[in-house]
This record gives sequence, structure tokens and C-alpha cells, in this order.
Amino acid sequence: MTEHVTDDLELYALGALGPGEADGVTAHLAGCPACREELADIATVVNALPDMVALREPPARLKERILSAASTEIPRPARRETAWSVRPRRGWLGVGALAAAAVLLLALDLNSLRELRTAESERAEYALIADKVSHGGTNWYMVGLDQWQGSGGTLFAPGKPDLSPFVVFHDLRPLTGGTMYAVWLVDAGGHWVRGATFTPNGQAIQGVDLTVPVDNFTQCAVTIEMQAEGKRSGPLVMQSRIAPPGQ
Amino acid sequence: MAADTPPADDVLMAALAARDLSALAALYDRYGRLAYALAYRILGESEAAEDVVHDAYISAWRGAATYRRERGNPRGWLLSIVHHRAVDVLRRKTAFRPAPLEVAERRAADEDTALMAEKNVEQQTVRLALQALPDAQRRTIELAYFGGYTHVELAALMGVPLGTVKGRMRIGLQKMRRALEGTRA
Ligand SMILES: [Zn+2]
Repeated sequence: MTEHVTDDLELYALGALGPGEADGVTAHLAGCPACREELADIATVVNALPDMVALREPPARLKERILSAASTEIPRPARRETAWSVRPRRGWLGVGALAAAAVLLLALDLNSLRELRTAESERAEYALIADKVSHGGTNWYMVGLDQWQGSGGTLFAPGKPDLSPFVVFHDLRPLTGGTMYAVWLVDAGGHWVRGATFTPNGQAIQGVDLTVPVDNFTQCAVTIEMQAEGKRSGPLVMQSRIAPPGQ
Repeated sequence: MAADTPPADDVLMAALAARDLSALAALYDRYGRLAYALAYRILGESEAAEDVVHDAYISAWRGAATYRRERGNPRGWLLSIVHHRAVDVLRRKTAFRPAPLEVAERRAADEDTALMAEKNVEQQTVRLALQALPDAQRRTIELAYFGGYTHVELAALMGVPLGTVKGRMRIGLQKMRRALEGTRA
């Protein structure tokens, strides 16, 4: 981990760092709970500053503008989905809005205080992902369950056959005791096939490639395991239905 | 839920993450005015302020799933998005700075605050806490937060070393924090 950024936190919270400087702090914060905690304290004061501003009535049309823009971004279920999935899936991201949303999610996540000051390297990574996805792929969002709420991952099945499926996780919890995350694909018969095994990299965003194509599977899931191979035995961290066979 | 109990912010955030438009509407009703006031204060014009608030709410809508409570409450989260966007717009608008100190301060000064702000205890407390700071600390914080100046610009603007700018912010914010905590205790 890089050196603590204690010295720059006031500047950061007030928005007084230059864009390049802020990126460094953002990156450090993503992996340092101590600095995050300190920043949260400073932010309580900074977030009180708007209280002293003279209140001002926004134009009446603004609310409608916001709601109508947001409503166009509510993902609609795919035409075939209703045939096999009756429950709405929470947190699902529409493919169309994906490239833009992915960049935004990344930024918000890394740093809820200084939105959009994304490190250049991560922007580049996301550009790559957006590029892969633009080949007409599909994606499904897995929501963190129970104590893993806040974590999540999007499984991407790129439209081009030579690109392997992959998952982009966000906010994965660190693991202890030599355990690791495993990504599984589950078929209609309830067979679990391991698609990847990995340990969290400590970053807010992490991409993981799968060694198994998603065709013929109906669900994807993430568990915590003691072993790098073998059957599933650990607790379920996240899960989502994916397209059933033949559709 | 009782009809007369408005949902807590955290409940609204969860609903927002579940793509509930009514939660977005509720968050707008709750903080839209403050968000707009902040954006207007930074940008000084209504059209740009409107766009900033619009974009900030849409960005909150998109990013709600990744919001985490440990990093601040929903109000602070939303305001920080507004602040960041407004400063971003301001910086793009004014390519070369600093302006002379007097110009900067005129823009960052809040002449009408005392007259127009709601007479709400929280607001009074913040204003008093800021006003109680030595001039140099108060101006440094105001110019950074409302004026959108970077520490490098502030050092040039105020004719002091970078370390001094940093120190003024740190001590000023610490004092304000103690003052705010004192009144909340
Ligand atoms: Zn640190």
C-alpha cells in the first residue's frame, strides 16, 4: 500500500487538490480504512458548509427533468426474460447504459466524496471492458447477500466467441485465513462448475476471467472456499440467474 | 409505515439502489433546494446550477448501488457529488486563474446569506463556527470550497507557501469540528 494520505485529507475533502493529485488520494483511500475513517470525520464538517448558503428555490421544471431522465435509464426486462424469470432482479444494469454507468459506478464507488476523480489506469481498464461489451454481449448483475451486502459483480458474456466471459466485481470484502472467492456456473440440473478462483486485490474494482463459457448454465454464483479446486462447500456471497439454455 | 413518518435517508438510498423512482423524487424533495443553493453559490448562475443538480441526481441514481454508509450519510454523499460537479464546471469555465484576490473573494463571499438563509439552528451554528475562525483560515476554507480554488492557486492568490494553505485548512476545519460537536453534544 502507498503511504498514508493524512496530510492531504483536508485538501481532498474541500476539493482543493488538482485532478492528478486527487487521483492518488482516491487510490490510496480505496485500500486504506484508517484514512477513510479520518476522511469521514473531516467530511462531517465539510458537508456542513452548504448549510450556511442562502437557500434558493430551483426552477420548478428541474424535478421533472431529473425524474424523466432517470426513468429512461430503468432497465427493461429483455423480451425473453419474462418466460423464465418473474421476479424483478434488483440492481440489474441495462446493457445500453452500461459503458457510461460502469465508469460512473467505478468513480462513485472508489470515492463517494470526490465523485468522478477516477484514476487514469482504471479508466483505461473500463474502456477495455466497455469495448469488449460493445461486441453485442450480455450481462447480469450479482448482488452481495446477507453480510456481503454492498459487494456485487457483473458477469459479462461478450458477444464475440473469441472473448471469454468475465466478471467485474466491486467492493469485494478482504478475506482471511487463506480463503478465496470462487465463481460458479450452475446448470438447470443443479451442477456447480467452477469458473474461476481468486483472492481480492484490495481495489474497489476487480476483473476476473472465467474459464468456462456461460452457455448452458442458468445461474452464476460466488462463494468463499478453502480450496482452489474441487466442489463447492463454502458460503454463498452473491448469485444471479442468467439466461437459460437455448435462449 | 405510518403515513406521517417520512422514510429515513438510508431507506431512500436502499430504494434508490433498487431503481425506485419515487425514492429519487423523495431525495429531490428533501435535498434539491440545498443542492441547488450550493451549486448556485459556486457557479453564480441559475442555468449552470440547474444542470449541475440535474447531473448530480442522475449520477446518484446510477451509482446508488455502490453507495456505502460508512463513507458518509446520504445527504453528505449527495452534496459532495453536487460540489464536485459544480467545481468541475467552474474550473472548466475559467481556464486561467487565479484572479486577483479581491475578485476571488467577492465571488466567494456570501453577501446575502445572513439575510436569506433560514433561521435554522444548524445553519446558524455552521455560520458562527466559520465566522469565529481567524480571517486567514476562514478565507482559505471559503475560497477552496465555494470558490473552487486548488491549494496551488490559493498559495499564489494569497502569497503564502503551500504548507501554510494546508495548515490553515487543517486548523480551521478542526476548530469548526469542535464547535459543531460542542453544540451537538
Ligand atoms: Zn492510509
